[in-house]
Amino acid sequence: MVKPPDPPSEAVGASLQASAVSPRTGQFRISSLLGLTPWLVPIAIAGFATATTDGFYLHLAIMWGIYSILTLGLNVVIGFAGLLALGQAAFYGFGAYASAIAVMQYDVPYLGALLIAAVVPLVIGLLLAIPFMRLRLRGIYLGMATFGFGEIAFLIFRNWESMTGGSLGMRAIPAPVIFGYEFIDQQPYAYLVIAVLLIVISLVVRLVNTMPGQVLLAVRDDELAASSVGIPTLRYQVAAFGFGAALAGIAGSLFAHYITYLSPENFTSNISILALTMLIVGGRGNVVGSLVGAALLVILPEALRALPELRILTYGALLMLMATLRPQGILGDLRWGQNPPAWTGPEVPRRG
Amino acid sequence: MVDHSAQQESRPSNTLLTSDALTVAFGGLVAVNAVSLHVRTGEVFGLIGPNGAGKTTMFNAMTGFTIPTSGRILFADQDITALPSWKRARMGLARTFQNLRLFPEMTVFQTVLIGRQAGREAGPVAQLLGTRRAQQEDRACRERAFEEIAFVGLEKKINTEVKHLPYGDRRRVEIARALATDPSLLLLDEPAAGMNPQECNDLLGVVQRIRDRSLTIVLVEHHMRVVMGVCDRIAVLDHGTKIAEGVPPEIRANPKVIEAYLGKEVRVRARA
Repeated sequence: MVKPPDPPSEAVGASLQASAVSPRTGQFRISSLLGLTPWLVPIAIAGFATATTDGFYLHLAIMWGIYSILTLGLNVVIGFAGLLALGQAAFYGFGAYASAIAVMQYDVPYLGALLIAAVVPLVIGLLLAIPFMRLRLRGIYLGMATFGFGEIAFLIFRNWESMTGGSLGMRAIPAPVIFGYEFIDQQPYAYLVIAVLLIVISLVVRLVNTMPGQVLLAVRDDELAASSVGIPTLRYQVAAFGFGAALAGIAGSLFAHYITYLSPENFTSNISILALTMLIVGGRGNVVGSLVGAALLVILPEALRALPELRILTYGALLMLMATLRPQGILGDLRWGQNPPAWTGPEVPRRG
Repeated sequence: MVDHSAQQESRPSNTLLTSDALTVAFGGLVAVNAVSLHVRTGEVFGLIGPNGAGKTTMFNAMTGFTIPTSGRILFADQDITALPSWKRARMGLARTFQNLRLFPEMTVFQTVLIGRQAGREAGPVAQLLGTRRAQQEDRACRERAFEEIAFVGLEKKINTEVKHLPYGDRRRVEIARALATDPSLLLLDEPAAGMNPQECNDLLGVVQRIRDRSLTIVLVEHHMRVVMGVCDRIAVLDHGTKIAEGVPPEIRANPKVIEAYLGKEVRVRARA
């Protein structure tokens, strides 16, 4: 077959990348500005954190950022790769303890501890996912297996006293120090969390807008079909699981050094279910949705404090309404920043 | 891929795919019993038989979706009996599915791009990082995906989601996705199943054009018209055993085939 001539390099991946300016015409378009929403949301929250001095609001902003990272990780596993993981709290916990132990017992600088907090859950996640995937655990069976792993992780946190302090937990975890600056106040801590979140968002958006992410979606939709065209489905699934675990670990580290006190009770299955709820409310496979889902589930319980008797009832009823009326998530089919490959014609206009 | 000259096509001799005494048993049920087949380079090889004859089982064993109980499968002189399907696909063995297996949320273009992914030199990490080579490859993949979509005649629907396409078009998407892997052997599992006569004719046209690209084709089929019209050689399975092999006129005249396959209807009709 005859190949058309190579298009010039400035048109590279034109439709694969989010950009406010169309690469072909240089024209500014509102619709492509919406493509920046994944980054604009955290920047807006950072602006809010600058404007307020109220510790309570700053606390909500920080917890939102941490839960957003946790939920984005779960989104890669459940939303993109289609693997039902119900033990995400385990990786969140491994990240939190690994980071605290690295800083307190081995004097690792914070950035190193943050890396360890990603690598430890990554390795555990990979070691777990390989047998799970090989044994063809899928759907609710994978859900049960990962849930079981979450319970085991909880027991490890509670019983490995020499490392985790057992049920007494770990106290006085120091604030992160990066290049000599100590992130001890809430406001700078919010900036730190949002900075990490922005990097995580960039990674996830890049993943979903390039072919490896597309392959994940294909594997999710039909494993056999994907393998029939030469896709090593197992490797992609294992990698996605590991990536989700690493993001959970990063969230755990940011949590540990913010709360400064770790107890096994912080990492029960409640957290796994909370992250899952944030994901479902925001919409599976929707990047901005994860941010919105995390925001709603951080704010909602606080907003409902005004009606103490009805709080849990209202909360439950809202979740049920969501599941019934908006099963695809609160944003529906709006997937800002996500640009699946589309054919836009040959990239060079051919002249006669 | 090997370029085939005209005389090679008229007298093909070299074997591309071999099944050597292949047996597939599910518990006590022997679905395929010691079947040996030789598919020659450049030919359209038909595999027919009545329902439950073991065609699809045979097909799945050749493509790595079923593990054979005994026997061997050779592809381009390599033993692939134990290889998983994705490795076979990377060697140049592509397939379609009897009950379409597509990615419902994806567009035609996205689907065919997935077919292009396995043959790439740049790994997933290079693609994520967007290295220069990966970007050049991205462009080549997009062009190739477009070519395959145009080849099956779907270029006007390239950005349509697959779930919105009519049945016949979905078949074409599957074929385009398989062709995007750059195969040397394409196995089609009952491609005419569920198609109306018009769609069936169009499909025959597509099969002819694939053949003109010097691809070898294995066609598992039920529609006699499709099989007789397009195949160079045909093997007939009945109750998991091969009962005949030869060119279409031989098959049509073979008493065993008439008995097992074609004759049944006649007998039923005669009785009624």
